Amino acid sequence: MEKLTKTMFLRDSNKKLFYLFLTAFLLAAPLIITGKYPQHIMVMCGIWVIASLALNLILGYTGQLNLAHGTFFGIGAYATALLVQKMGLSFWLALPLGCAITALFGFLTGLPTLRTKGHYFPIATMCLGIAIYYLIARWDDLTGGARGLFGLPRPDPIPLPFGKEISFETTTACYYLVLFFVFLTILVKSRLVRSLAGKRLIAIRGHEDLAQSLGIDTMQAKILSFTLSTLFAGLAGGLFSAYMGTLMAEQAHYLLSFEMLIYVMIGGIGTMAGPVIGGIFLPILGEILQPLAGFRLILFGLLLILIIRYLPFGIVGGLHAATIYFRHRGTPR
Amino acid sequence: MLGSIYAMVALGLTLIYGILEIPNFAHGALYMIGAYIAFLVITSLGVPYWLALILSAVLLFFLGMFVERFVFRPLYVQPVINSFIAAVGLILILENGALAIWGPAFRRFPRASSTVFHVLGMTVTSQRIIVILTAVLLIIALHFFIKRTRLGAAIEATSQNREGAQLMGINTSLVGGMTFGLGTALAAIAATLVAPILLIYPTMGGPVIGMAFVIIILGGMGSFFGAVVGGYVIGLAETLFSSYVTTKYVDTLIFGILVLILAVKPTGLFGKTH
Repeated sequence: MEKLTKTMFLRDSNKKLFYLFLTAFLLAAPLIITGKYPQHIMVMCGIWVIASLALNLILGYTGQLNLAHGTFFGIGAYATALLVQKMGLSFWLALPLGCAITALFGFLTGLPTLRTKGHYFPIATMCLGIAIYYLIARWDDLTGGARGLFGLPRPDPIPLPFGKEISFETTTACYYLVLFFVFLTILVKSRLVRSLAGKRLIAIRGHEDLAQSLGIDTMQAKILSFTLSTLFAGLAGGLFSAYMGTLMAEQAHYLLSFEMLIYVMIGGIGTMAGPVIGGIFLPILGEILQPLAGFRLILFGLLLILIIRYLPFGIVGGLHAATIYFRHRGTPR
Repeated sequence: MLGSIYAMVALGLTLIYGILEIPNFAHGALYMIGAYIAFLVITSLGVPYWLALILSAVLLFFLGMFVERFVFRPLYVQPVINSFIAAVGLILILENGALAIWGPAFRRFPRASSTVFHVLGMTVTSQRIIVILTAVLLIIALHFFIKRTRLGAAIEATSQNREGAQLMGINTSLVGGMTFGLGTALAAIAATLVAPILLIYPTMGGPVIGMAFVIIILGGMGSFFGAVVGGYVIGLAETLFSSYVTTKYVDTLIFGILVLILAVKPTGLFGKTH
């Protein structure tokens, strides 16, 4: 896995060209794909990509299985929505505040839960997720309880000189908004992963006690990773609430954490491209399989078990193994 | 009553923990399947309640063995995190499978008997007495099974030290499968026992498994005694809290307390230090 992440990043100019094309394509996509429904799916994919990238930071790079990730998504969504709806704040103020609240929550809950090691951390976070879910679902006065919140406004228009403005009423505009944050998330995360702090996280994933014995403050590093991961989960949640206009307690349910887990695992855990691939293709696959209703998730569950067994590093890991195989085919070992 | 159910579910979970070395997240989903199988054989085949209980336990025993063999056993050599994720996949399959077959509606389970007793001014239905008695009998029987029989000794040996047990000539793969099956069958019995009192629905395993985790953590992972005591303590606490304080935030409170216990003393109240 160490080698995998390294070669994924440090590739020649070919890679740069590919990314340039990809960016150009993503920017031009709404001009090619003009349907409202496909564009809606593209916006949703962007939101899932942000959330999955965030999950991969704590799960893939730090090696801690956080089963409350969906809950933090929900906290971000509710915090942003409530700041807009009840406090009358502008979306542009509410979104960073919502993220900050989520991150603060992540920091405070990370302090006790990250003390636990091994299999206690997933249990602790799952319990945390259940506790917060019931709090949101039953706190009628604040969150609207099981009915949820609705009638949330889209982001306020950004004024431009000459009396024009960027309005976010159309799906296309929302797509660009989400795309901007996807790029921002990727930027922050790749900077972090390649920094010294990122190396510390990867060391913890490799062997926590060993990392500690080398003088790494593992608790501090884990808190950093966890807080940042919840910050971006909150960002995804805030964007979701403004885009959808309605919120239900389901947006903080542990099933949501499972879905994000699937995106990361099938895309490729511990890789930069994995959550992006998982967050784009699986929701699309889900939409295609919509007629199957409940069987969609059965299929996803089956896929998850098979991936774990045969492709532990997901699609990205599989592709990587395949390229190595083809490159070295014929050369003597 | 609630305590008996929790104790049985937690006991199954703790047995499986000894084998898998990880808590099985999918235990609650298997519990739910147990209730539905009993429901199915009673309503469509018309078998009596007790036979349905046994049928559901036997079927879930084999389902548990199947799951252990094809989902978890290949993952023993991989990092533990992967077994967790596989369990998540299993939950998705089982819960959505039940949803697809039986629908999201709450089902009412036919009662074994509806006699009502009046003891010391309390009204007690016979189903509740059945639950309590069966649970106590089963727990005692299980205790003797593990302590007094060869297979029980093999289970204990395997959970203590897998390699060591293998060296002693124990077929640890078979024992692992059997234990997983046994734990799952216990969950099925608990679910079938409680089903006539509560309702059954595809996500019914969620709250129960959450509680069972609380219990085996409180009682110490892998501790038989801890699971039983923890089960009754939590069951009693939940009943008292919801009848005297509030039912609204009971789940939030219990899971909140658990997170704190985990942070302070991860090995539980009766657990051995590693």
